[in-house]
Amino acid sequence: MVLTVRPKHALTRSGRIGALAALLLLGALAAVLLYDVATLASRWAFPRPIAAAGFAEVAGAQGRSRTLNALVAIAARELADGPVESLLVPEDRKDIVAVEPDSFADIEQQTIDPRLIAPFVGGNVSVSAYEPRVAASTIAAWENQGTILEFPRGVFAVKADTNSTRYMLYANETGTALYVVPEDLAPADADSKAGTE
Amino acid sequence: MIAAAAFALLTLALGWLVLAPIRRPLGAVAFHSVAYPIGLLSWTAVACASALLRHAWTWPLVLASLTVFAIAGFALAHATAAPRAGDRHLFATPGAPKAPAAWTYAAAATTLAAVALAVQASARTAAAYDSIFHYQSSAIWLFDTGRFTPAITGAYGALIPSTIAGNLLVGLDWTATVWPVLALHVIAWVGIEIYGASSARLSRGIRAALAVTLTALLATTTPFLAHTLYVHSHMISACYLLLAVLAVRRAFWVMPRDGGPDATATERAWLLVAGVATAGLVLARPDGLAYAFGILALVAIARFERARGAGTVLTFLAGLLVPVAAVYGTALLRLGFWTGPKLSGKMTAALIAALLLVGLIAAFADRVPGARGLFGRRGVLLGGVLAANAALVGVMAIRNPEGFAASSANMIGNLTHSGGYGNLWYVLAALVALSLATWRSWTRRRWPALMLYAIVQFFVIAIAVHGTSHPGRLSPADSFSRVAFHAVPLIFVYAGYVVGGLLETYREDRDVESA
Repeated sequence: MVLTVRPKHALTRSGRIGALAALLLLGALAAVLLYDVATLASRWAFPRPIAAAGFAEVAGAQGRSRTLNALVAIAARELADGPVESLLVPEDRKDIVAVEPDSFADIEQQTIDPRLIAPFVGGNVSVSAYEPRVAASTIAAWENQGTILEFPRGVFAVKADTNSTRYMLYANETGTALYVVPEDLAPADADSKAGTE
Repeated sequence: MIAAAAFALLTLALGWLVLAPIRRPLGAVAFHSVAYPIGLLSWTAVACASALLRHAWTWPLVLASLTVFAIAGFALAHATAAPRAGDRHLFATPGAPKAPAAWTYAAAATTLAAVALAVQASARTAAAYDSIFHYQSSAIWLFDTGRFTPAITGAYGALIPSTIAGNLLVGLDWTATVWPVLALHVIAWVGIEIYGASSARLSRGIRAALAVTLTALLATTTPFLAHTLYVHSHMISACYLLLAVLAVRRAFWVMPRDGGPDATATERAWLLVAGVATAGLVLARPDGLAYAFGILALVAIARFERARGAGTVLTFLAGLLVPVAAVYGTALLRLGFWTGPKLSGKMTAALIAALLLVGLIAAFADRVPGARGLFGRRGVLLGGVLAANAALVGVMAIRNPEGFAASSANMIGNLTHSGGYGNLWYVLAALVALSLATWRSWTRRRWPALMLYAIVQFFVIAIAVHGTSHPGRLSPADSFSRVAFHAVPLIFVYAGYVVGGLLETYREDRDVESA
């Protein structure tokens, strides 16, 4: 005679059916997840994957207006080949770029913000009173004096054979392009940097 | 591309060095699979060294500080968890873990390098404002100046900026590989856990099918796909949380013990891993310190229910507090008691001291006359902790009913319709409800109850952290909504226990009736 010791947790036939029913319900739940997978693309709510090999491409693809600060920093770093000794940004920056400002909690944020640039360049960002808009002729002169490096979203760096390790931020007349320029190449009529904060 | 593989391999090698004293009790699969996440913490050591010396990240500084990390980590593992003379015989028994063979190192390194190269070659990534202006900017600052800021220590955590700074060092100006690599770790651990936790009464084929099905479902959920690429704290936190919880199970429920008065080598090894993984959780986000209390409570409950010695908790504490104290100690030394909207210097110091105090109580409470019998009774401590959690939520609701209602509405709204989760949380909630309704049908062991506790504890802490600070908003970008993802892999493992248990019940009962 074979004695079968029934484990205390073993069920009756109805219990087995209960386990089967529970498994079927779990299968149905899995089917709901499969439905989610099938409709995933249409309701994606997270940051969209992009193909970007470097920081400039990533910053260029990010939609916020204030990401321009990162691109300005990248341009300055490219000129300095690392942390920047000094980057001047204009005191009056309200209309320097022709983009819709970001808004957090219904509060409009200034697009070019030295506090957002500073961590990317080693901290040496200052504000100075100077006219940031330059004429097309000035930009043409920069093109003759050096190489214009292009970054995403209308950010440029003027790489020239100068001794300057200090840079300034300018914009074209329409505010569609930002230029990081060695201080040596700053327009002659730029205001004194004595007012640096 | 080679730089991505170089960073991954360097990180893996550092993990190997730290874990070398416990490679045998961990076994080859676990040793190799936890080495990379443990090795990632090495980059915070570089941040500490550069902050102490106020020096930019240069190769000599980095190599020197990584060497110090490896030696200190090796010494910690050796002192707290390495096999001792008394438990060496464990490894002579059949089925006990063996030291990893040389070829396994080559296989692990090749796999990791291949994944890193593939990710880097694909150039796929996902970034939002936080990725650029929190993590990338902090990393570049740290790399350039070697200085902590209140933002790094108090708002974002030191681990991710340090990791990105390590990538800058090897020449990658955007770090994309770490997140997919950790996602693969999560998938591997979930699969291994579900396969291993299922009863041997189920055939290997069924166990494998169950593990593959559930990991495939996890990997294709929207948040998992998103956080696999999204440069933020979420995949990293989910990875460390999962590792910490599974390490606790490994410590207390998997390996036989030798009956000695203190923790065995296997217990100590896994508790050290649990502690270091919890340190990773702490250093990945400013609210990580709060979640560390949840893991500590899990260790304490498990230690009393399994009647283990104080050494279990002390080993966990060592793994947790040494890396955390190193980073925050450096920050306090350099910044003083920094202020900030999320985690201030004073709050950090108080929370670390509280972790130590609670840990010591958990280690030695049973030396109080009568306490051993009380805590040793199954369910008493778990019930007490759950009651404390309920009281905490109750106090929050009573103290600020309107704020609590508003934040709760946003939390629920994000999980159910606005957070980008699709039907995931409906499914997970239904799964948990079904598991409770059929509890006696599928639970044969104690661990699933503690796993469920760990999940509940996670959410209570998340509610406490997010429900008290601000009401949040209905958006996938809401903080609680994103943080909820950290528990998703745990819930899929729990699902594996439930389905495995029900399959076992079905098969067992059929076999008994047909006998």
